[in-house]
Amino acid sequence: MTTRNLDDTAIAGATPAPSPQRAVETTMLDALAHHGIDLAITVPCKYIARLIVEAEQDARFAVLYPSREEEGLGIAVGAALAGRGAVMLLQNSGLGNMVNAYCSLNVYYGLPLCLVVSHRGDELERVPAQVPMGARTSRLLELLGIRVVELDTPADLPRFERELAAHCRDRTSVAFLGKKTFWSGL
Amino acid sequence: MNRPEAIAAVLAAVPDDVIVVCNIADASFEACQLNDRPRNFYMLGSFGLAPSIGLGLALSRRERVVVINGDGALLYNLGSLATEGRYAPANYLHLVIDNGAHGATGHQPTATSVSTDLAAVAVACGLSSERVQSVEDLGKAVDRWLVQGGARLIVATASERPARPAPLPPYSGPQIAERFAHALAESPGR
Repeated sequence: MTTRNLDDTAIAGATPAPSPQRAVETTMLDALAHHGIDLAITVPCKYIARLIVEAEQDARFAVLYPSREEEGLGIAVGAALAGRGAVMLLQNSGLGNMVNAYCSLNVYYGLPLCLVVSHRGDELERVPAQVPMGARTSRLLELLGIRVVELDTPADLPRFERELAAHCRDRTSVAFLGKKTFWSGL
Repeated sequence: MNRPEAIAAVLAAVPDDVIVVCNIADASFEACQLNDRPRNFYMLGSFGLAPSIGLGLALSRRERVVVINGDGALLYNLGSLATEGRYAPANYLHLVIDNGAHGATGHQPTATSVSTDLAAVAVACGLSSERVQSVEDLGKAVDRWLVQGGARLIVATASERPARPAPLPPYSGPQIAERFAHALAESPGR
């Protein structure tokens, strides 16, 4: 059983409340669409629930729910080979489910990935089982050769936009690692 | 029927514009040896992901997509059937060559050799499915799908082993990806 489900049960069915200011999620979707990314593949996390809801409601995006992250990686690669831009929206725990596929498919074939990752298991975490993976997430991404961009607060949005442009230009894999304090409504 | 005979029959049946995604190891080696096409994608690692790559292609392209998979690889990513049934692109054919074993690693038996019915699992996931036992019936089943379309799984029982192993494709990963993407880019996507 994954710890993701345990924690998310408490807010099952909850839709994030709209924020009076422009939400970080809206700006992120605008930037993704600007770079021709129109497919969002997600295994959800409550931190990115608003991002997923907004993508669902945004005619510029198709949202796809694979059974697990590794499968989503395969779908993203298929889309990329078809000339379509894809982003994966996932929890950091799911990175562990993608390691072999990332190495033998993305690295070996030279096919970069764009990942938007919720960072569970840090000092703000209330589910203890998330902590071991949370503590290893940045090192795991670095070991895989994926550029890590930490998003700590909404003030980091310009970094997101800059690094997304670099990912699209340089064709290198990137993981945007969003802390609890970055996302709306938590 | 053995696996290379099944693969040859499928590749002979599909028109040039059809996209073919080949499972890890022998299926890719044999497809490349028997009928190397620019629109073949040879998946040399990422065990289990051929149907997922195929689904990403089918949802992003207008051409038909055929995935040549194995029973061991499908069992490794059985959740992919749920996703295929959920989104059910009409241009998607998932062919499982079921030899009841992990053929590439010493023919260790898989669950299909004992209990698992992949065609029934596919139906439970919302796909149409059928089973074939001979090369002739496999060719006919692919021809029917080419006419009818629909998100479908065909399970082809391969009770015989190949005579000899096929060599690795003479391409690197980036060469496979570039040739394949280039071939797709020559025609409009969606």
